[in-house]
Amino acid sequence: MRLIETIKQNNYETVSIIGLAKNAGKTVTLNYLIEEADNLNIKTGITSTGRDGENTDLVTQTQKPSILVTEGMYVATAKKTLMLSNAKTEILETTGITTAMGEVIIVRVRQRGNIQIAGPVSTADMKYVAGRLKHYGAEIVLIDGAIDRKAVSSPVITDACVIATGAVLSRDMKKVLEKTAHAVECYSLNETDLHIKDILHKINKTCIISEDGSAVVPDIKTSITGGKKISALIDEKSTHIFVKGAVTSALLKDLWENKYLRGIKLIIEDGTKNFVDINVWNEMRRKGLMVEAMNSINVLAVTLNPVSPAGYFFDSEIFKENMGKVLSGVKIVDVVSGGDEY
Amino acid sequence: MRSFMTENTIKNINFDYIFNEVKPITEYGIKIKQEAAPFVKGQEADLKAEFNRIRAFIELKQRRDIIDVLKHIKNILETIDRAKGNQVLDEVELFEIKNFLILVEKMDKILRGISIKDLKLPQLTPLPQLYEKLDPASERINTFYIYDEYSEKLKNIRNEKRLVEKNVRLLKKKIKEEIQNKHGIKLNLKDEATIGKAQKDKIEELNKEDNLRISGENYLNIIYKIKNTDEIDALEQRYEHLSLEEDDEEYKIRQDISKEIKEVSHILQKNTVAIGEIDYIIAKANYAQKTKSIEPEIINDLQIVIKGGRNLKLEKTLKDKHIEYVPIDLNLNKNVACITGANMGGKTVSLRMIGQIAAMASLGMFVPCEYAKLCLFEHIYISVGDDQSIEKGLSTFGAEIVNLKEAIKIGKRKKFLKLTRQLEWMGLREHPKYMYVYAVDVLRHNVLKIAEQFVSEDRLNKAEDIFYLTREEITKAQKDKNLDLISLINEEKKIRKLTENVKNWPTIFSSRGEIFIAKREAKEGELSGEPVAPGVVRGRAKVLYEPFEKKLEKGEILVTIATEPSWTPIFINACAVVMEIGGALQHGAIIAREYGLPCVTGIEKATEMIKDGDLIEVDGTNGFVKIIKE
Repeated sequence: MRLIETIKQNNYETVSIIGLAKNAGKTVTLNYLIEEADNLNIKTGITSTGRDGENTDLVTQTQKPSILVTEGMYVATAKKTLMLSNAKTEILETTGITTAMGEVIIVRVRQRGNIQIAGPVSTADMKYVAGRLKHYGAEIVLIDGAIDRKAVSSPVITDACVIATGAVLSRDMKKVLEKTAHAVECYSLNETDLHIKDILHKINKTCIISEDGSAVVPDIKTSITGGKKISALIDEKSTHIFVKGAVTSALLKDLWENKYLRGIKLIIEDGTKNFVDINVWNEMRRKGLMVEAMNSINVLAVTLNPVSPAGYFFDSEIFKENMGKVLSGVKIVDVVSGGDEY
Repeated sequence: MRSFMTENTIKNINFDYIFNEVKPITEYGIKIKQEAAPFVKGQEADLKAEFNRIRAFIELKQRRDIIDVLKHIKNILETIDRAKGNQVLDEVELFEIKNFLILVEKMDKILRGISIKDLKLPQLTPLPQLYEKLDPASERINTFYIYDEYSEKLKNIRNEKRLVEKNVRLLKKKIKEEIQNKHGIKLNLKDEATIGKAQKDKIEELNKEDNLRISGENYLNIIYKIKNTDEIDALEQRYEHLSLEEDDEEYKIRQDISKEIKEVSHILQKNTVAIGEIDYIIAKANYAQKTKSIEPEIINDLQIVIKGGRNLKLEKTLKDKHIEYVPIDLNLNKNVACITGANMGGKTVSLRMIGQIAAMASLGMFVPCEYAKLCLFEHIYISVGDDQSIEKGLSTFGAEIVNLKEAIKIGKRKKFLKLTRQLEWMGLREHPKYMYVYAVDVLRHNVLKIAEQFVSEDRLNKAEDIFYLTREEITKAQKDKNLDLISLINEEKKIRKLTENVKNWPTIFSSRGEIFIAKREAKEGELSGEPVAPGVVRGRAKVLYEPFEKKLEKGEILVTIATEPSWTPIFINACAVVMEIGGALQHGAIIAREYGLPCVTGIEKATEMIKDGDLIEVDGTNGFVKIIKE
């Protein structure tokens, strides 16, 4: 089944596309999905976090595919980028949301053309804009996430996500596979039990839960530096530790010092908050660290870009085959070579 | 605003809090609010008209409809300026102008539906001609596009563009299918095919194909892409050309519309001001409704009458703590009024409330009370001793003097309201007594609650009877349901009956029942008592049984039975004090000495023998009071 059909059949209304690195092929993926949707007459709405769709990539000066929008599509983008576009658009709404590139404007495409997209930055604004795109008639809203703005993939906003990965991550294919598998693992961590979630929603702070359901909130400024204090509060009665915000290697190591941690579940907000070094993470997991997330992120597919702008590339067949071995249950699409799906 | 109230005063009377709560929706409304000047003497009629408008909007059902329109109005002042400067507006700007016109028309329609006479609401001017220009297809929807209807030329260009694009697509599709069939390869969405270098025959075959070119190569693969035919190249060139023509034509159309906007820019600007004014009035109406405020009566005489006045900020703070605010009544005339009372008793907040109400009325707002009558002021000043500044090296007192100097400078020229907390120290000295009285009151209420319980159980005849019991007896009764309270009370009543007719208890009596009455040498016409504060003074008497039953004028002599803390303020006007009971440590005696007033106590029946207006002489040194002239 084509990726766009999977999205449609699952009734996913908002899908974010997250690149694991610059030039991982995120924009190619977006164009691919737009074209697929166009072929099937599915009306899409697109927007992005931060500026995207520029002709040349500002960081690496490589040619970047521009986003081709077709008649009937809906777009939310900043005014300055809209004025540079050669697509002809009908103005539907000025949202009042401002970005460095001007106010975010919602338009309907009247004549196809290339467009630059720079959507809202904050999560709340993104939620509003996605809602408006749906309101005007978009069946699927595609959100292009910029580098280091993974926040938008938070399940609060999008129903599912597509991860773009590629040769740019490392010259060593093994490393690319490892990093990609790690990201997918983090994003799709199991969700915590409902009753534990209820307790944590009420507290909404880093805390330790005991078997009787009571919670202790450690007196710390941030979880990043408070590992030792949290660890000191863990005893044989503790069942869950919830860490609000970023989880780092240092924090995990501090927690691991406590012998009771082996039988306790660590709960993080969602996969995007995990900043633990892969090696540390994998080692801890092997030793029996149990991790759950408040919100699981639905990873729909991984798209591959076998070419790196640094000049090297992988054989796409081998790349795909190996990726399939490390990821199970996730669709893998080589968008650069033409979108054959596995 | 600064010449009306200093920044310090605005903060001190919490007017900043109140004014912040008035929230216009549009940027135009916010601008009007920021520029709002107080109504001053001579503008009473204008103020009355403003009050009428506020009242109208509180009552009108159209207020909701107008608020709905206001919520959609955006700031187009910058766009108007650009049009005035002969700039060509872009599509987003034209979209905003179009929406503005739609909303102005909508609001004008609502305003026309208001049929109150002489309301003098700000007037809007719809611009139907300009609107038509922005909606050439008469679609009556609020989106904007450079529509085909703008010019025949534009329409033709676009039609041709569409045709060219369609042809290119068809041609490309045809070639793609041909190549795929001919060579047995699959081209992707980008019309590319990746062929492994191992397939040497295939590569040789594809290299000969006229319609393919190599678009990329690596050590494993060669990537082929469809090559444009001359026909496609020509069509694509035509498309580019048409696009440029289209842009030119669109520019001309935008230029044309921008010119029309420039011509009516003054009307657009006037509309923004009118919208701002309506927005501001509605914001004031909303706030008046939210705070249950009323229209004050504006008078010419220097007077402030407030009934049930509330300090809005304090009320809000208390409400957050689920405590009810007790409204205040007052009547201020020309002259100085003294406000005093226990610490934390609410002196300062009451002063602030007066300032708030005066400032709100002057700024054309309704005021938070049940009734208010006041005049307009040129300046409002408050001094509550909270201005001490370590940085400036000023003590509380120093800061007060600096601020007063500033206020008096303005006050000399103009009518001005000064709110000063005087005699703050009095609060301190009365505090223990205040707390004691307060505690007794709380106890009394609690005891009465217990008594009501007993009454409902038929153990007491009436609640007040509980005061015949001792604390121990009450405690015992609560534990022991069978304790006969009524007979205990009857026993107690019997004892008290013995002294039922005693009106005045003697000052001193011995255990044998001897009563000692001091006999002093009194001259003819003199009443003798105890000298408790020295000095001799003559003046008119004023006999009071309650501190505020009559006004004690300056220079009068206070004649009363005895005093307690609530009497303290009236000592200010008195020139001497005569009391029936109490010794040197009675409240009135202490206050009299603090104030330096001659005082005689212990004159039995003084309040009956001396009448209001009698000219009397008080000799506080020797303890005599002489009635000179009745």
